[in-house]
Amino acid sequence: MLDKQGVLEAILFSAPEPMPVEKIREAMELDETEFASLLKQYEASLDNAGRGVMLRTVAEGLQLVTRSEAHEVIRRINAPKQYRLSRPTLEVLAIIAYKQPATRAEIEDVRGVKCERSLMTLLDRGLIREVGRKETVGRPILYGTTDTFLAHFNLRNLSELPSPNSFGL
Amino acid sequence: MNICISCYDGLLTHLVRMILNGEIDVFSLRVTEVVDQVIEQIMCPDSTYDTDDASAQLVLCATIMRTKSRRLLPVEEDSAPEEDAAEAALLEEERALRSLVEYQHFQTVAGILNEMAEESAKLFPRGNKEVPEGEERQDLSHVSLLSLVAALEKALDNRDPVPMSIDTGGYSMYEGLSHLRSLLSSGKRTAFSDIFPRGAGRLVVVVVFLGLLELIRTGEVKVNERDGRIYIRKEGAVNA
Repeated sequence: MLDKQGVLEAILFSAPEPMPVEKIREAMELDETEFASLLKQYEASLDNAGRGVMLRTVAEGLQLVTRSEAHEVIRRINAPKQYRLSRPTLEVLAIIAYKQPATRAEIEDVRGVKCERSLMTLLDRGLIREVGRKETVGRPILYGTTDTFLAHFNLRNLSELPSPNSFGL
Repeated sequence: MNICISCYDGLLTHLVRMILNGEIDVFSLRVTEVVDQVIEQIMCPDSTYDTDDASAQLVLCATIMRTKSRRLLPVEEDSAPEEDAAEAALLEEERALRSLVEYQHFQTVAGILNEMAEESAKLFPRGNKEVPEGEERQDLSHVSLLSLVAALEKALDNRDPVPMSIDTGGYSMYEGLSHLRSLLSSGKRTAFSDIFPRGAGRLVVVVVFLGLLELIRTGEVKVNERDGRIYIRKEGAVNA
């Protein structure tokens, strides 16, 4: 007979993408306190048993992922390709993350150079998306970050970005 | 990018910031020395600077040149218009400094994001969807765009009957993609000329061709050219 931790594990195992916390809680018919306590217990059981997987909260969803200590041996077998973003593309992404929604002109104003190619790369990778149009001359496209962005940088939400105050932004 | 000149040794962005802040006397600075070093590093065969990054460095050089040339202009104290011009120049320098400081902050953030991405890359979810090494981009080196276009033209020539009636039904991209997916689902290699539905008109040929480009983009199909003919097969299917 499965206990609650077992059910939670089964739900998480069935979902390769982060699963919204509320969705799991409702499916398990638990109130917030019970669910928070269950999560804590499950996390502790994974930690204490020296298991190869751990629980992470990313983009307001829960996901089972392998532990970072295992990444070398996984790469030896699986060699999953993790793409790297170039420095200029990362700069464009940083500007969008902190100034979103931002237009191309606003990004170029900070960097002083064009950023079309970086925007294409970021859109192609699903790290940013068009979030609307700015109500100004030409109605330029506004860009914002996506859940893929949060997952790529292992962030629960945008508030986990390094504090803007520490950089004087 | 690092710069090493007689009065400074460090990052180019810091140099520009110090000049705009008045911490380095721009008159004692040989701008050509800085620009030569920047160009040398960009043009170096081992250079990792792409167009965007290189142009950002050149913009910094241009900022130094503009600042020095403005400060070289004589200022006549009694002349009101000249005072206005000097004030405008000062304001512009302040704006340039603010932009530079903001840019430097975002450079720092970009570095932190890079570290965060590297740490996050050590965690793998179940059924990691990342593309295996070496297959991030399809190797289309054996298929030129011209051959694809030539093949499309040929298909259009072959399948362009004089319309007897105007078809108002249209043919959607969804239908084109469904047709291609169903055709290629067996995993067998299919010649480009055979991917179009029998008796297809110009519209259908164009939509199916656009559908093919979409499937190439999303990595659902592989395209090869052999003996002057283009073949398509489903990604992951064994050569047939």
